[in-house]
Amino acid sequence: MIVRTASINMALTAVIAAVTATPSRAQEFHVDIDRPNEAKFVAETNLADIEGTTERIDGFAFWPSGELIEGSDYEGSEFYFEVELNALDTGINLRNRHMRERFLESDNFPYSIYSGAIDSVHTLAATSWTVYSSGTFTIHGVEKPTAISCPVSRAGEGFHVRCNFDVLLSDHEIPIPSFMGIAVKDLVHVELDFYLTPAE
Amino acid sequence: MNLSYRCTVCALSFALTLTTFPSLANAQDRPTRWSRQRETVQLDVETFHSTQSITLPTSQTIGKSEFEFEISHRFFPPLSSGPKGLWGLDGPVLMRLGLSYGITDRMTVTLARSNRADNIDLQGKFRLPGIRSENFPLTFAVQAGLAWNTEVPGRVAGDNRNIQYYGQFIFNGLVNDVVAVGLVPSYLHNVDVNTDVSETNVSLGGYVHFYATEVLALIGEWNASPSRTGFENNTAGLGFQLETGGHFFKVIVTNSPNINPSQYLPGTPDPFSADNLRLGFNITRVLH
Repeated sequence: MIVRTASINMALTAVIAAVTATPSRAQEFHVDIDRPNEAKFVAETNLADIEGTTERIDGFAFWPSGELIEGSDYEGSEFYFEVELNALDTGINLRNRHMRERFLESDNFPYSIYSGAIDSVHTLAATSWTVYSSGTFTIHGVEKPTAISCPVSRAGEGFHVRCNFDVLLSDHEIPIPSFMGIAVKDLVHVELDFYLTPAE
Repeated sequence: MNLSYRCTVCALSFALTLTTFPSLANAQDRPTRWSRQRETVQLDVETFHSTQSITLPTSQTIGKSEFEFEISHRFFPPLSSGPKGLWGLDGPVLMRLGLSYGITDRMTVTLARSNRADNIDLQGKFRLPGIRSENFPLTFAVQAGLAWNTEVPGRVAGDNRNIQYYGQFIFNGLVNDVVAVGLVPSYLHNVDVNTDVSETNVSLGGYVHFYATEVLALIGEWNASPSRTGFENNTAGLGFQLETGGHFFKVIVTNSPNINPSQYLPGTPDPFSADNLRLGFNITRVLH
């Protein structure tokens, strides 16, 4: 009986060890604000494109395994990324002011936010993946369910994330900028390029 | 005995597992270590939208590495000339062409030329730190300039008497994001380049911009100056301003045809009355 009990417990220990050994540990990653991060939007007009950029991206990503493995279960994963809208620079101070005050109303809604969870991962190469996610994109205080897939590559202990997606201004109740026949198109292209580093 | 032994082995095994593989304990924990890593961006205090009122400067500067191009007109014949002179639009016209450059977000240099005495004006503006307030933010700037009148009758262009210089303090405030007000005391050396005497002039200017909508403002300005021959009256102007993300369009009526600072600061011969009002406009465009 004693031998049987000991065997059961050894087996249990071995099973738990096997389950937890691969992947190695749960992980939380934060945006590495010391790396060259960039959030950019491109808005088309009937005259020329308007680009706005900022390096002020912040947030975290968390998933139990801390590794990106195709076919793994990402139940329990969570991420939250925000871009500070007052820091967006279109190259002209006056235009920045108009964008902040008239359209984004960044005094009231200072951040654009994408939060949600990882749905799945597709392996592209040994150290690069496509991460499929779904969640909520918020800007101008208006939330919209959004699904985004982002190429991700290993960068040291962390990851390099690059996302491209489109946003309809009308979905977020942002007035369409126009003046004297020159108007911004409703569809605005957004690019995010940032680094994640393991949380300390 | 067996039960006690079993429990002990179980507990030891589980403890060993947790010690060896700590992630099992926190694998599903919500992250708690993240918090915003930086303070939010602190934007500069701003009161006026444009770098100029009508002719007087505001405390606003253009951004670093930005250019601002200006073309301004003052139609010499008054509105009272009627349809025969197309209310002054037939001209002649006094014109100012200018180009500004932002050395920093707070410092702007401008080179401009008026066709009156071929006045070439080089000026620098420096914006000082403002005072933050919910209902009445204040901003300040200093401006100084040098004017070279290259076409003065009876005098060669390089004559020292053709040089003028000036300095201005600019005090601006914004009431409830709707009404912007400004005061501009100015000092001018060598008031009238057509005389042989270098006089100085101290004037006090003021202006108000009422932001009726996000793009439209009603604007008014006056500049009070001691009366002297040829400059018997204070200058004043009224009009409206349209703005886009890069342009300002100002359409005004004024009793002064002069545009460059060294020429409008001393005053104007004509009083601000219906018979003497002239049409004018300023157009500026910020380039990057």
